[in-house]
Amino acid sequence: MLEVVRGCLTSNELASTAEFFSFGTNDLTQAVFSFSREDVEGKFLPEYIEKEVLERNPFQTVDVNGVGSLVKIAIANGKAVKPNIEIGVCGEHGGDPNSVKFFHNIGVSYVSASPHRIPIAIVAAAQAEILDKNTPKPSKKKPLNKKKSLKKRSHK
Amino acid sequence: MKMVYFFDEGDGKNKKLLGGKGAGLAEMTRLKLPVPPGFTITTDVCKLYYQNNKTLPKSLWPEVKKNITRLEKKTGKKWNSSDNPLLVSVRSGAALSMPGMMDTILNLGLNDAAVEALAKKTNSPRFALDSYRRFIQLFGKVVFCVNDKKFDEILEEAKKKQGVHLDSDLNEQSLRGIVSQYKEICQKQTGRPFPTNADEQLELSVKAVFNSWTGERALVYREKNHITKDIADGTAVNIVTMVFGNMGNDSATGVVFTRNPGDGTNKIFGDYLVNAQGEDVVAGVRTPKPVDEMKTELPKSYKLLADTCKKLEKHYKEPQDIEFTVEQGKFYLLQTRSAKMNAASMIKTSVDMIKEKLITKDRALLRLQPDQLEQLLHKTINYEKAKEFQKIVRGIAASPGAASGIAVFDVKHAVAMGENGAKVILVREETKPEDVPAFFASVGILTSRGGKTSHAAVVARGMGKPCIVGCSDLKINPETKQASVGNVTIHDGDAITIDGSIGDVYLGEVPTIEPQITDDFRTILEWAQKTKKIGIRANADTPEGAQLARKYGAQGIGLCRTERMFNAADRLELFVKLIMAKSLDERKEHLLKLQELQKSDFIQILKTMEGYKVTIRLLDPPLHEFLPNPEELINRIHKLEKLGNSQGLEDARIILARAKELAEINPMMGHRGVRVGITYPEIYEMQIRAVFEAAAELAKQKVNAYPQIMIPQVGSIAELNYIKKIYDKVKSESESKYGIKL
Repeated sequence: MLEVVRGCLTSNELASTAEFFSFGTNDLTQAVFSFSREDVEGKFLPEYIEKEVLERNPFQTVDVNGVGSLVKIAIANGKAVKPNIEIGVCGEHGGDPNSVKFFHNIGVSYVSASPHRIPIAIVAAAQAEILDKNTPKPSKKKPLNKKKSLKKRSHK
Repeated sequence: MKMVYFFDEGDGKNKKLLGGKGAGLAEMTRLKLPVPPGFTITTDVCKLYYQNNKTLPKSLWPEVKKNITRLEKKTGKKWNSSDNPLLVSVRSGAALSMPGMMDTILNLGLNDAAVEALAKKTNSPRFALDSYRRFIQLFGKVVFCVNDKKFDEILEEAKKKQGVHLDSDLNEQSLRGIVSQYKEICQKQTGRPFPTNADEQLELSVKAVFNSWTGERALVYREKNHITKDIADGTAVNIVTMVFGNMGNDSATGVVFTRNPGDGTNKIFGDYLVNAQGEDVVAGVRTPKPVDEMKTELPKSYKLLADTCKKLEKHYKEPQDIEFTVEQGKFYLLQTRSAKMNAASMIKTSVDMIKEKLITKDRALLRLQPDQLEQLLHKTINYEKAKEFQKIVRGIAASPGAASGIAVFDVKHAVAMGENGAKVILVREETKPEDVPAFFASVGILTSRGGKTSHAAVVARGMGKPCIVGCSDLKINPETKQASVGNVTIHDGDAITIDGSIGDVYLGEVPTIEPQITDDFRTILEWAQKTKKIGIRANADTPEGAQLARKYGAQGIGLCRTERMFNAADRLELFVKLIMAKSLDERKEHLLKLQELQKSDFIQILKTMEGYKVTIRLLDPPLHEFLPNPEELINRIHKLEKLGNSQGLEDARIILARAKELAEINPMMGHRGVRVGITYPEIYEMQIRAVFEAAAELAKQKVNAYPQIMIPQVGSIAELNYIKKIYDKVKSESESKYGIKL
């Protein structure tokens, strides 16, 4: 499970032993923001949103620029070692439509949501795919970066 | 910069520039729908107005006048004329519709002279004066901020004096009196005579519309609905030639939806009024008639309405919410916008419109708002019936759905009552893991403390039970088993209802509506399932949760929290014993029992999710979370001291000592997850063994089980490899025990 920042940053090392990654985005959001959820949500977070210091509650919709970047880094480094490693997300974000769309776009294999949010996640995932397929894509140059040096660190 | 667009010049897609209403009017004009001629002042002008310290740009007025000239040509009427006056309505319109926020001014251009001309032209002084008094009232309210009540009082007084009940029965003389009194009110408010020049009237109105963009209600609405500047920045102003629905019994006005917004049925739905102006329908001054009656009353117009509805849907590919007016038999469309509908109607119309070949499957899925679907998955309050019940307090809506039952303040009592089949609402100041058995026994949970992620909220959501937390106005006294707010007191055993979707608590048993997974909803989910690429798994810790998730379409479990299993009544006690154990041997003895329990849990969950992966997370929270909190223990000790119960006292003291020992300053970053797994390896070993043995037993039963083991809080490869060693050892031991490869 990747919910500790150091774990995310050393995902290339973890990938040598781990068979799959699952991002615990609740704890990861707390760690990345240095927010203790219980303490911030009831107190200053509403004022932050009101004063436009924060656009939205990062515990409801994943923070793309911060937490999202870290997740992307962790995925890239992990896949460099184990290209087919399964990537999941098991925070509450799995039931949030906007977050589901983000995770779809960065190549996560699955998201996990509470039972009552499953139909919501399914519809959001379908929407993500429809939007994705209708967006013209720039030609991909990914293979260049993908299989780079990190593989050597594999412990196996 | 072009500041004004005549309806036939505007780009019907550019809502940002023309506002939703203006873009709609432009689009309708382009489609050759019967829209009265008019023009739109753009949202850019609104932005300039604010940049220039609330003054209109100088070049605006010449452009406006040019467009007025075009209107004069189209209508054959004259602006600012006391002979054949051109009258207009002024309507606001931002990129997004913001209901009830900014008002409309009707009949602008009227004054004492013009009203006489209108009377002569229409041969109806009554109609002309009625239009005039409406104009003054709307203008006074919107531009001069006169309290609407003052106008209403005069109107009521006049009706009384004349001895009539309906506005439409007021005679010419009464209306003249009303007009002059209305003008006096406005003069009193502003200190100058009511403006008679049409240019001045228009300029003041445009400014008023712009000002309303930053009115308090508008600001609050935008904030609540997350309408940021990139979605809607400023409002446009639409100036539209007046058409009159109050020009006799061959005139009418109405508001309809092209489909029923309550259930999605493909049938025009809405109301109309004969001989009335637009706001009479909305304001409820007169009781409007269902649009069906129009078929017989105004058959020609009804046909035009029905045709227009079809045309609009074909063009916009979305059910519409429209305003129309019939002026002496001539049909006019005044507004169209996408209809706001509930989740059930959205689903039904999505499926229907595909059948009608109006939209594609992709569009049918894209138009849904996923969040809205939650409405369909929970029991909801019957809000119609709820009006008869007393709503006593509101807390934080933590887990959606509605539940009625009897209030129970004590955890053990709740378990007992629940097991006896009573519908229990657990009412606590806050909850702890040891209260979880009571969650299973309750239909809903209400707490006075904590937020959306408090223990009560998280556990209730996981179980799908309605829950309200942080209901701080409710003073809960667990000692006296009472809760009170204001002068209302809830006693143990009183019937209450909680609405976990909103956070309201009601006295009594409010009727609820069962969730409905309709065939249409199932169809939509099947399409979505086939379309999507990313996998959807569930967070589920119990076989019931897994079953529900599977029913809703989950393909596996992405998070099965093993600690939840320790919270059931029979396990918590064992787990506490484990924590309290003085030696490794003693711990192992308790672990063996727990292992068997966990194994049977895993077997059930894996069976339910046969064919799909199940990610089992090993123990994550710190151990002290399973012990009662020290405060509570101290209270218990005080009580036991009074009772002189020496054995109980001794036990409680030992637990208190251990709880203090384990207490942490910052548990979130403390001794939890893999850190517990490394310092108490026997705990993780037990859990891993339970998984392997469950898998082995299922393999023998030919059940396709795919467990995955997840280690929480890993920060380094060394931590992971430490657990991996245990994993490898347990794996080979299990394989040789069962004689199979795992």
